Amino acid sequence: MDRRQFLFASLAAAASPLAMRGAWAADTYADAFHQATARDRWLRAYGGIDHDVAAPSLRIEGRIPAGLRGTLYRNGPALFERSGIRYHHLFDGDGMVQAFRFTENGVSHEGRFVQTPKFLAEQAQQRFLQSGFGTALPGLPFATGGGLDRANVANTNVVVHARRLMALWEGGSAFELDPVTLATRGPVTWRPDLKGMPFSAHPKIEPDGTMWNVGAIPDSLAIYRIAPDGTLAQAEVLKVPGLVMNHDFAVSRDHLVFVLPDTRLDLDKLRAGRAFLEALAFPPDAPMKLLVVDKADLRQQRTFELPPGYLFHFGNAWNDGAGTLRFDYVHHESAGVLMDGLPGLMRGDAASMPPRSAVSMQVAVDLASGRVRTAAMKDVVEFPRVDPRVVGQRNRHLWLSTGMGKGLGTLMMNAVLRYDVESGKRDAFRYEPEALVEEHVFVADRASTREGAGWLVGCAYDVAYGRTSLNVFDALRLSAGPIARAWLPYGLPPGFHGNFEAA
Amino acid sequence: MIRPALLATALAAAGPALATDVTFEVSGIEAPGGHILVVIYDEASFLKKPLKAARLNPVAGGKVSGVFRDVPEGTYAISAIHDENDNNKLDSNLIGIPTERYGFSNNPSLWGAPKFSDAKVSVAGGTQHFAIQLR
Repeated sequence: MDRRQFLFASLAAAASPLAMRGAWAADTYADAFHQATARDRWLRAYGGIDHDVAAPSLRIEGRIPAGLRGTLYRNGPALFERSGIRYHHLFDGDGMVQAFRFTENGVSHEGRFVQTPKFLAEQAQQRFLQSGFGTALPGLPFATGGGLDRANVANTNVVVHARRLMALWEGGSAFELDPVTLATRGPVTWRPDLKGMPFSAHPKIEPDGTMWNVGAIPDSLAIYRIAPDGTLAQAEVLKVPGLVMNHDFAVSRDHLVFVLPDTRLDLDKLRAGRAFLEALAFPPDAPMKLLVVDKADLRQQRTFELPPGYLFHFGNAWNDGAGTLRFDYVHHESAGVLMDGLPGLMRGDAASMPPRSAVSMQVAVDLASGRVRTAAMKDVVEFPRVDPRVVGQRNRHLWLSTGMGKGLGTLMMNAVLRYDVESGKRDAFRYEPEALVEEHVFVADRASTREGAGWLVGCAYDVAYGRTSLNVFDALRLSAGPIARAWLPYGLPPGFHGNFEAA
Repeated sequence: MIRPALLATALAAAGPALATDVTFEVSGIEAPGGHILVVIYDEASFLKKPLKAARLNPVAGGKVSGVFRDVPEGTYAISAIHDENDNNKLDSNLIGIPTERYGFSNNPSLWGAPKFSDAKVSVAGGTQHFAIQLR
């Protein structure tokens, strides 16, 4: 390179740092990530896995409670790289469903990739054939004429309803799996005119067995009500101007509750081949919209304002009988985890993952006056769960994952936490110093009808050991530590969500 | 016969329009059933009223091709759909996402319905060939 070329290159770099960074990032995620794992060992958890796994009998410390019998199903993105190309966003990985089976003989584990058409085609060719939500691969589409099912990675949640096991994503169909073998049966079409519709990853199952779910595309929100016997009872599409996407919602006795961050989608960027994520923008300091829909008549809708921020998840919602709707969600200060943190994780760039404020927000809405009160808890949290026996009803307990100690954000949680939302007391347990703690799921003890009687079960990746443990707590005494730990003979990529199906 | 006569007069008045054969090839066919419907539009008729249409038997996993004859010079857009259930339209689900495969000349992004300008192609002189990928 002669001097003129060198000068020109320097000027170009100075003039367009973002463009240069983008070009660099597009080519070097895999190399950057693998180099970073030598420095930051915890990143190895996100290296991914490329084959199904099984361990028939896990090594157990402590005693599994006799009442805990059934299967914990979990889901999460697990395959991140093919032919030297690494996805740019955690959400793009192919879904792998885990089954932890608790029987008289101990605990077994099996993990199988969901055999989506995308996964099968890419397995056959050993390369990516599809762009992802957060990864634009040159010449490879994300959406197609038939919607998003061609890009469906079924990687976000797994739920059992009416004995049907379904792996869920946000932008397309549920995929039904065989509950015993985890073999994929195929996409669920609830009714012919609902083929290929988004069926989101956070359905809510009320104590009577009714399952509500939603699905969003720009400006439209589909609402599904599935009867306790697994048949479709209702499907409607609401016009919601300005809506771009919707991850979770809550149900109360009377309402469906949505919190919508002000989100902009630049269609020209999509048409120019950028990833969906790259076409998103979040105006700073814009209040979030609270949308409350009457369950009995979905056309009855009210909107309120919530403080600026971002969210993924709700805990629960309930009507107090005196005109107040109460609910909780995890309030992020911004969309930083989505936009910067998770891409940074994929290229091992710890500097792009500063600790993010994400706190449990307790909300009370006086429906008559429109007055909205919010109260933020203090811990950095994610993945709120309640006792399934109180979904849509008043709950006293709320279980979450949290980060205890310095410098930990929602990407590096190391502890589990219970709030008694009535007394404000907290009950927490911190894992080993270097642990990556997943969502923990409440499992009811059927010997009792009391809210909170049961166990909290969940996985933690031990960084020093490179293995994953499945842990069982007395759900009302987390601080006493796990009453049993089952160790896998391997590590699993930290997953997103799951549910327990009692035997 | 009034309307064809008027049309002929209008074309004559527009000047000596040269006619071209437009050949097309549709790929990305996945299922064997139904028909491939291919339509050519001009800007005024885009997605409203076909100027010419073709109905072809699909070849699963393959391509089909055809020709629109005597197309006057000008700017056009071509759409193709795989009408799997032979109801002569592009089916959509309740939320409005098409459930049959479709594509356009120029193979534009299918984020939202394409505009005429996204799919437009020029037809002038000799035989013109366009490839459309169904998605």
